[in-house]
Amino acid sequence: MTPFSTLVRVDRSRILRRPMTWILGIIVGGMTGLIYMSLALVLLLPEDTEGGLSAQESADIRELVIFPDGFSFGMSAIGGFATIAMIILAAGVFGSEFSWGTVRTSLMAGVSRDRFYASKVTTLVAIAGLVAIIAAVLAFGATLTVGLVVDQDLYADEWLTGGFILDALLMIVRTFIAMAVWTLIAATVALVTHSLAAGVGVTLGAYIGGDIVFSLLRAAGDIGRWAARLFPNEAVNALLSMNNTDPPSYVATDYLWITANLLFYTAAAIAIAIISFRRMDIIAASG
Amino acid sequence: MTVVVEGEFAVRIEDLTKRFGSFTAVDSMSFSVPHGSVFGFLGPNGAGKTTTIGMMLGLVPPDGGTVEIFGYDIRRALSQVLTRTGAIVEQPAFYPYLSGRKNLEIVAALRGIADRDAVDSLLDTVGLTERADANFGGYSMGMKQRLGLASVLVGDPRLLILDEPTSGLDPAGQREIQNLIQNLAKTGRTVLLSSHQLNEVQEICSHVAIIDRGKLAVTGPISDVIGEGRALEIGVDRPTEALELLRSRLDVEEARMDGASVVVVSDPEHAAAINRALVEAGFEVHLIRPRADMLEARFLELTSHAREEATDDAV
Repeated sequence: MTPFSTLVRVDRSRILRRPMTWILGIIVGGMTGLIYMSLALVLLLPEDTEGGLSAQESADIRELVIFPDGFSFGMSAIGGFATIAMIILAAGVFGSEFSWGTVRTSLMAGVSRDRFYASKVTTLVAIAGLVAIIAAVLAFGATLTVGLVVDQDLYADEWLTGGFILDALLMIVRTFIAMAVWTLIAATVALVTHSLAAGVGVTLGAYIGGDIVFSLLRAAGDIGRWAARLFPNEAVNALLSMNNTDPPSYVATDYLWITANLLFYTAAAIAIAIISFRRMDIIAASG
Repeated sequence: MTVVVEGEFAVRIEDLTKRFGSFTAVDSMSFSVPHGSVFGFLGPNGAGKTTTIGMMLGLVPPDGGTVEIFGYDIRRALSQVLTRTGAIVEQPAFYPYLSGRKNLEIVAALRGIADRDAVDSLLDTVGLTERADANFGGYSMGMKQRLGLASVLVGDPRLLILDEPTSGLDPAGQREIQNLIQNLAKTGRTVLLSSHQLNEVQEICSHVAIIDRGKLAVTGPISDVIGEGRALEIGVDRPTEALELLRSRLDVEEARMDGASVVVVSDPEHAAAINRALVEAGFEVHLIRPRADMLEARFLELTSHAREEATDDAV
C-alpha cells in the first residue's frame, strides 16, 4: 500500500503545479495591495480640503490601518479574500478530478476511496494553515509599510511585545479554523455533486449570502439569534470577532455553541463526503 | 487473510448484476478470462461493457454477483486486484496542465513506484519520449491513448483491461495502438480488450465474449465462436428454403441467414458435397466461398439491436 505521506506529497505537487492555485494567490495578493495602496494614498492627502477627508475620518482610517489595530484589520480583510480563494481551490481540487476523469486514474492505481479523500483534505487543510500564516505575514507587512509611508514610523513598540505576538498567533489559529471549515464544506459539495461549479457556487452562496440572511435573522430577537446559531456562518463570524481589537466578551455558553457548531459542520462535511464517495458510481460521475 | 487459489482463469465473473433504478445495465453476467489470453469483450453501445469493466475495477458498486481476479474477490481484496491490474476505462484521464512524464510519475507514485528510469522506459515503449515533457492537454488523441497504455503498464501488471483503446483514432493511429497491444500480448500478460473494431478483435484476440443489453450472448475461444476456417458463405436463390435443407444435413454444424446469403459452419472438405446437394435439390448456387469477416457477422447476429442500428445506418 502506498504510504499516506506519498499521497499527500502527490496531492501537494498537483495543487502547487496547477495554474488556478497561483491565479488565486495573485488575486488575493493583488486585492491586498490595492486596498492598502488606496488607504495609504488617502492618508497622504491633505485633510479638510475639498473632496478630501475630514480630520476625524482621516484619524479613523489611520487607527484602522496602523499598528496595533491595523494588524487585526489586515487579518480580517486578507483572511476574507483567502477564505474565498480556499473555497474555489477546494472545489477545484475535487470537482476537476471528476471533469478530467482523473479520479478513475487514481482509484485504478490502487488508491482506496477513503485514502483518496483523506489525502486531498489533509493537503487542503495544510494549505489553509499555510495561507493563514501567509495572510498574517501580508497583514503585518502591509501594516508596517503603511506606517512607514504615512508616518515614517515602524511602530515597533506596538508590535514588538509578547502580548502582540500571542494575539497574532491566536488570530492565525482562528483564521485557519474559519478557512478550514469552509474549505471542508466546499470540498464536500464538489465531491458529492462531482462539480467544481456547484462546489464554488453553493459554498460561496452560503458564505456570502448566509451572512446577509443571518444578520436579518438576528434582528428577529432571541429566537432569530439562536436559529442563526444553527448555521456555520454565525459560529465562524463569532470566532473571527475575537480577532477584533475590541472583541465581544463571551461567556462559557458562547464558547460552547461556537465549538459545538464548528465541530458539527466539520464532522458532517467529512462524514457526508466519505459515505457519498464510498457508494459513488465513479464512471457515471466522471467525465 | 485472504486465501487465494488462482486456477486456470485470470478473471472469473459470476452472476454479476448492476441496476440503475428500474433499468438493468448488467444482468447476471458470467464469464471467465483464461490466463495469458487476449480476451475480446464486445457489445453494441449501451450493452453494459464499461459498466462491467467498472465493476471489475471497483469503480462501480455491483448490485449482485462476484468478480474474482487472480483469485481475489474484489469486494474483499480490491487493492490486491489493482496492484496486479492496469486499466484504461473510456478515455485515458490525466491532468491537462502537467506533462506526460509528470502524469506518468504520479501514476507510478500512487502505485508505490519511485523509479524514474521505469517511467522513461515506459515512455520509450509507447514512443512518447520526444513529447514526454509537453503538457497532456496539448496531446493529440493518439498520444493520449499511448500515454494511457504507458500508464497501464506501470508496475508491470499481469492483467491489462483496455476499454476502447483505439476509439477516436485515425486508421494509422489504430494500427499503431493495435501493434502495441499485440506486442504486450506476446509478453504473456492477460489482456481484456473491449472494442468496437471487430476486425481488430478477430486479429488480436484468442477468446471473446459478446454481450447484448446487459446479458452474455456467447463466450469462448474465438475460433469456436466464429467457426473460424470452417465458415462458408453460400449465395443461392430461395435462401430461406436452402437454409432448411442445410440445417437438416449432418455435415453442417450450424446454418444461418446473413443478409441474402446463407452462412454454414462445416468442415471445408464438405463444401463440394453441400454444393451438390443444393444443386440436386433444384437450387441455383451462384456463390460458395470461405467467410473472413465471421466475427462481424456473428456479432450482428447475436446483438439484435446492433443489427437494427446497422440497418438504420444503411437506410
